[in-house]
Amino acid sequence: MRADRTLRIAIWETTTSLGNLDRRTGIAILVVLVLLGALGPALLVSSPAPGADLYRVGVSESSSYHVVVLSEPELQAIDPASASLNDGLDIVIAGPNVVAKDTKKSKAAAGVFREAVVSYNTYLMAQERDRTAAFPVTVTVSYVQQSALQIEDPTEGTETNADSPNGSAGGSGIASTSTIAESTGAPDRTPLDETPDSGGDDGGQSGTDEPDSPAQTTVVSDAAPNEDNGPGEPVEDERVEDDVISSSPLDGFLGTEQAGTPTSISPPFPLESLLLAFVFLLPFNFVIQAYGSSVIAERINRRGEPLLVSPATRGDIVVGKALPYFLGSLSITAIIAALLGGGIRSVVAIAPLAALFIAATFLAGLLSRSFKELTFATVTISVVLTGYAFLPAVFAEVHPIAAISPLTIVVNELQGTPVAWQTFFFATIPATFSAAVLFMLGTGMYREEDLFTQRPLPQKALDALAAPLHSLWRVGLWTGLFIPFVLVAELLAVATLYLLPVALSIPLLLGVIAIIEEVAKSIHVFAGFERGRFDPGLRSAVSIGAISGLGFFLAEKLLAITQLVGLPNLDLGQAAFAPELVGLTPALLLFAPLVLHTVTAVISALGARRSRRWYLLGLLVASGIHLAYNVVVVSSLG
Amino acid sequence: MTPAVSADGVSKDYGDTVALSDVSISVSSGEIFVLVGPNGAGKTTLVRALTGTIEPDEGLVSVLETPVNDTDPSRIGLLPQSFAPHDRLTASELLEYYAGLYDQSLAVSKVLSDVGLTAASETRYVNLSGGQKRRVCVGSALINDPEVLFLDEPTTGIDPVGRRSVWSLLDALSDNGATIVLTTHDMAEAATLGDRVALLDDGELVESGSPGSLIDQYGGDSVLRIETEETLSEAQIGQFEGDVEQSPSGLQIRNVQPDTIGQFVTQLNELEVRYGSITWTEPSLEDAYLQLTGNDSLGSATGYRKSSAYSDP
Repeated sequence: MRADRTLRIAIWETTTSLGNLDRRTGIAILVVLVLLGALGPALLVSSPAPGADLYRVGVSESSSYHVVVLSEPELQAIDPASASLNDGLDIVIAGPNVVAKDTKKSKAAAGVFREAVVSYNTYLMAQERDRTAAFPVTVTVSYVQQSALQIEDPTEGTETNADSPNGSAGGSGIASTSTIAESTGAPDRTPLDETPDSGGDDGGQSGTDEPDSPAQTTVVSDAAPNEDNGPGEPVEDERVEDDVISSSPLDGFLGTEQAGTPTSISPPFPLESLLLAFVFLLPFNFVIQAYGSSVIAERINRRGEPLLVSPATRGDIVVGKALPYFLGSLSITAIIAALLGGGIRSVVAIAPLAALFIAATFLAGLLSRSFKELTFATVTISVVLTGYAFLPAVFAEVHPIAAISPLTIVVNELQGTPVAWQTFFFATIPATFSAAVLFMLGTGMYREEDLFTQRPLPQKALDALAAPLHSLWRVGLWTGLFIPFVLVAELLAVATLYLLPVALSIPLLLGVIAIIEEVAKSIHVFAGFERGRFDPGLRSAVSIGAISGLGFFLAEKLLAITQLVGLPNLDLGQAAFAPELVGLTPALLLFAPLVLHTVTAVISALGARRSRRWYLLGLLVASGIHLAYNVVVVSSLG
Repeated sequence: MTPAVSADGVSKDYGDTVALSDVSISVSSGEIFVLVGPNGAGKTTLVRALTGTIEPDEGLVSVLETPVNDTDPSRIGLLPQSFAPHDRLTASELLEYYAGLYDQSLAVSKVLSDVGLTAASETRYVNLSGGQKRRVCVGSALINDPEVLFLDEPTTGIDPVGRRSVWSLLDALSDNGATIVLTTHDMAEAATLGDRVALLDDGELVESGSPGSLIDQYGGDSVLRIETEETLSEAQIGQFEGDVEQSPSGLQIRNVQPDTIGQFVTQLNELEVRYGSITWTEPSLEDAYLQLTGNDSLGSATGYRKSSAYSDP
């Protein structure tokens, strides 16, 4: 490859792409980009806080809690003289007491109010010059029964546990750890004090209960609930917590610290993450349309043929033509990131995703016979890759599954959440490798015979898969190169299925994963037989299958990167990845997966050598054996 | 003398379709070599094999004394058959782009002048006439001043004036030492341009040689065709000299020299045979092709071809 030629082709591609735009289309695209650029910051600045003014709080202006209510967006201060609990108010602040109704909303309002008091006190204390006085360390020993030690902390290193009655209300972030050392809790702190904070900058501090703060006397209440609570009649907070926790559908994933309010029950609706992910992802869908059109127009109009006999190599051509779209995607990403306050890390994290979009579109452009087929292909790419990147990123800071998406890195950066390097690599490596392999496949197809012949898409796909199989060892190599796709597909399966009940999702996932892996080991083998690359004899098929199985066994160790973010610790993560990473017993640690992959790959190869129907049958049998193996392993792991 | 381009036993299949079957050619340096045949004869496939854009299933291809895949691409020029550049760019912009792919290239203005497009150099491709578009494409193949030029149907869609200007250009290039391999199904073009012609049919090389030798060898006799309004009797036919046949539309007399046509007219008048037209046809490359291939796929459905009937199909 020569940089000057690649650059020349890139400039040409840019010129022709822009030259092919008529004025109206250009203006329309510009307007969309400007709107998109304006949308992000506008959404962040004026982002409708979920539940703003959600709860109506009766509090007089003379009350010291009035300012607290004003400081909390979810609370709306109402003069108690103009309304009552029976007249639209959710809670009433009567002196040091919170009066609530026996309804979920009212109890949630009380929870939010109490958190607001804690936050406000923390804020006040933070203003003190004497930090020691502001945050005195008080150690309270409280003896509890062992059966009460149920609270788990999902974040490693956090000191929150039931032994610490002060607990940490610092949410799930790592930031809570350091705060705990400073936090002091009142001896009479209720379980509600262990509620994870609903997020935000005060996440690590909201557990602080200032003994002298008004919240101290306001929140704690042991009175029984009463439907006809009147002013001054307190609410039983502990019961509120029980109700709320039992309603959380994701306790298994999020721990049992859930409590308090609708926004802290189950995952709080991650509107901001959703908007950020959307803003970053949307431009790619426009870019791939332009790129895909360029690729297929090149083929249909045979523009690429003179290039093929020019000194430019296939690499020059492919890179040169993709470069403007890749850089364009990154530029848009950089602009959006800059507007939203993001940095280089966001751009670097998004680069593999942009490359994956473009690489998949490149291959689609090469395989499609018409613009109509290309449209179908690009829509599929948009849906699949958007699903892969967007959905997990929505749950940034909420669930470890979010780590599979590069967008999560961006969302975390923009939200000020630290990102460990393991998480960064985990999120970006699969997309990077997948994009690279797709470009390799596409470059291998960038020949006259593949570019300009009009064959059905499946046939061309088989051509593409068979093209690199010049030797037996290449079968194993390409099986290994498919591992990033296996990883992406399995992560996608995990992300898709994790909302289902475990009893349903795990068997389903085991089956899906068995099929994904067996297809990865055999599809190119089938293509090779179909295209006459291999001798269809029995011995040849066994050799090819064995090589493919060995390649998969060696390359699947890449799946170990899922451990970087603790994905196998999840129920579904364990089901998905543990069978690949461990054996049945220590003695079989190495050999069980090797035997499995070799045997199943040979079975598929034996079918592939005969016909498509036999291949499908072989694949089915191989997947069945693989599924059985997975079930045994997962069962043995408990 | 080492050939500039050679193919030895080249075969290429596309599934069940045999595109080329054991084709061997040899093109000398500075020669204009024309591949002739109807659509589907294998001309384009052979050009692609010669340029290395496809890999033959069997056989060897050499260009400039090296296997084609090892040949310096800057010494080769190619005009594909169906080549449509970006139509919103001007002729000069298009040529500048292709020039940029090579370390050394001709001046864009010179190439535009050579293909007769100086006046239209700043005209967008979309606004050029069909012939001008094709000439831009020819220019793109010339931009690197190639030693071997492959042109796949270079004059398709060009008007007669434009076509003749391209012919002149190719002649000039050949005179300057360039080796040219071009395809056409226009027999007149092949006969006019080609130093040698290769006749392809169904992927096979039927025959090759100079146009004159092919015509002499396979073109057959000259034919005088007389379109009569009535069927002549055996006795009337017997009064004509030469090899006379009765055809559905009249008489067909072979091996008639032009200076004897007047005698036939006199005889027709003497016999009081009413006739519509009299056409004398000399043997052509097309006749040679038909003779060699035994088919009529080049478009002579009537069986009558006029002397100037080297028409585009």
